[in-house]
Amino acid sequence: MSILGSGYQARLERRKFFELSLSSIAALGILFWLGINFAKSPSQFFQASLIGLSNGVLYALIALGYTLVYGIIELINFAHGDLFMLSAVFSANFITIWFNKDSSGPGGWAVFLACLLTVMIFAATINVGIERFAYRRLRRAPKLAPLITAVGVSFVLQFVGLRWNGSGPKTWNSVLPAGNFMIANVRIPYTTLLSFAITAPLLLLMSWIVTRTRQGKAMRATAQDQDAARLMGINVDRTISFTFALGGALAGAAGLLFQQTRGLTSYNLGYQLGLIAFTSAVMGGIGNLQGAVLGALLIGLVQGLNDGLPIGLGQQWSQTVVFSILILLMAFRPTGLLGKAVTEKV
Amino acid sequence: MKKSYRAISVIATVALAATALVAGTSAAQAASKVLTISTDLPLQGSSFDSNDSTNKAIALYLKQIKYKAGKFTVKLKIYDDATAAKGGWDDAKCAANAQAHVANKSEVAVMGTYNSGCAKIIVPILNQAPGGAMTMVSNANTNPGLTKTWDPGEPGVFYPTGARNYARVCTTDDVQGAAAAQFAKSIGIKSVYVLNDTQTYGQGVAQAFTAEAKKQGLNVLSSGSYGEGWDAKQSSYEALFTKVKALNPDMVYIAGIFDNNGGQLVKDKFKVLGDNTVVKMMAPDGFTGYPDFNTMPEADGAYLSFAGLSTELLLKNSPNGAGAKFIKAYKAEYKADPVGSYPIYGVAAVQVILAALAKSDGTRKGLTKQIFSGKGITIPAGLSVLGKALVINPKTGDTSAKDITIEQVKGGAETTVKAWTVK
Repeated sequence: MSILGSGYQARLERRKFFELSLSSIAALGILFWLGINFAKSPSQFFQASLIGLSNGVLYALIALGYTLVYGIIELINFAHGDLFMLSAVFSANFITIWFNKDSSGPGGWAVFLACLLTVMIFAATINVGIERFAYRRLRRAPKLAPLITAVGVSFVLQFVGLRWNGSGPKTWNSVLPAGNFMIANVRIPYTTLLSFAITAPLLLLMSWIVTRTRQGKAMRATAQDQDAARLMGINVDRTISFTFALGGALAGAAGLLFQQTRGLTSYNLGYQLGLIAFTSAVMGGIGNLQGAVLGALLIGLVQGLNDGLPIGLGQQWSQTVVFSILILLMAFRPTGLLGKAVTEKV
Repeated sequence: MKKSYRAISVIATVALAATALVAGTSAAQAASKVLTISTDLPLQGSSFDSNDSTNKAIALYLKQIKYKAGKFTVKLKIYDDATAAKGGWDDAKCAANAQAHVANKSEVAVMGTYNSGCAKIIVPILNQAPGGAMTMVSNANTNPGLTKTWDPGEPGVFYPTGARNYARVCTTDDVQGAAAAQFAKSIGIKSVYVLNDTQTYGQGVAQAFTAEAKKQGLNVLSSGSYGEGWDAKQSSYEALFTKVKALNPDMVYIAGIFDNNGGQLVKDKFKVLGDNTVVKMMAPDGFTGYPDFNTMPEADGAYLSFAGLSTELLLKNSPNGAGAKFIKAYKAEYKADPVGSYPIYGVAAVQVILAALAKSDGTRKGLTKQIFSGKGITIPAGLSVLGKALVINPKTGDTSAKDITIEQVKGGAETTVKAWTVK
């Protein structure tokens, strides 16, 4: 027994050493690549990083919806990306068509703020509706049933987007200020600042709700054990609905920010951005809120640097780079960056 | 003996009468035989306006000629090679359409496709049609590999039977790319960054542009033989243009089609590099015929090349020709101008098909033979909607014309700058 034990121990240590060496080599390689690029053009380095991070905050808003839902009912809600897309289309219609605003100014900003509130309610309502009518009955069904239902709901939302937005991408004017200012040769668009200014409080507010409020405590209890939570007097159905509402509201805000900062809507927007956001949630550790934000910022940063640095693989390889990093990370840390290994609930 | 003579003469008379009857019936059948020609274009996504206009133009042309091609009556069938899911041409839909063309027994030829990538899927299937290859004549495919040596194995790979069945009435990207590079030099461009949409067409035209730009002494700042690919699925190109900006080019050449997230690309180019007076932008015909692109404020001042003569030039070169008359008739019929210049080329492609059909026995094989053997097909200048003789080379299927038009987006519309002849 002791011989077997020491052999197993030795194998474990060899594996640990191998993993450590490989990850050290990878980390050194990445640092070397970043160092060369930084030395070549510091301003370009910061510019590409800023663009990457501003994309990252959008990914974070969407990723949180995935991770919230997974955290509470262990469902990968594939329809979440499409909810974001519908929110973008809703925002474009709300601002440009219904309120006829297509340029920056006090009127446009007021409509923007009204739209922020409305689109968050819009997306939250749809998400709660989806949970009520598509997922609730399947809560105790085999896991594949809600998963495939989520894929089905995703197609339904895409169809709605297709009918509403049309099959081609549509470009829109923004009501946000279009200019930018320079700091040490780095261009900082006002829209990027606004993205951070709107996203950061939303993330903090959500974090506060989950960690500091009574409803947040109910969410955490439900996530741990639904039956025990029920015994403690928590209305589980309402708590799950609230979680979907929270995730939906964040997707709504992301949709508005995307539409206004990019000036574009397309019915298949949710597929690509949803995939990236889902990857962010997995990279950070699915179910972990801080992890989702970290994963999203990291993916945005990797994309920005790969696309924008003088020495890089170029944009056509960005997806490959992101998913290669994910595969490597999963191989060595299956729970993600901030995820913790948990035993399966029985 | 007499009896047998009588019997023979009776039999001969009956046989003669029967032959005459059969011949008469065949002639009558041939004269009234209704054959189908089809169009195969993407009718969903951003290129809808231009392709819908092409179908309308062809429908009008057939009405003008009273649906007749020689002794045959012709009807039109419209195929859509796009899907809503892709918002443009779809390879699976192209393959399905190819099978449908072959299966439709009354269909003798196809006008299309709009996208070279789609043609590369359809042509080999039509080439192997049972009973003889079916001809396709395109109004808009510009990828050289369809008809001449380009990528490895091309063009032979598209003709498994060894015989040609594909022709086109526009010129090719080797000419278009070269013309764009020469034009860029003529307006004082010294350095250029080349982007492509990673598709067959985009990479082809980028390759031709890059090669000629280097030959002309321009500083090509992008690496590789066809520049850097943009990922149509990305939601932002700001980082990409940040890299481009650091290299300080005079011009960005965007080789690809507008459907591939061209709107976002142009917006981000404007955002990072400035408008088209600060850093010029030029794109090939994959950005022509798109009202969505033309009306973008960020597109104003962008140069475009078109692989043929623009409608404006057709009217100017031959104000009383068949083309000018047709455009007037189109306006009268539909109360609008054709969108872009490819609709008129669609009619030119149909003229080639109908001329071959009129000379043929009404079969696919017979029609194909008329285009790809002997002297091939020539549409005389007096009849050609292009305002000049249209000659199809029977060996390659290419047109003899190497017309290129340089256009510029101004005030939300494509305006002709000049015709360009490759030096």
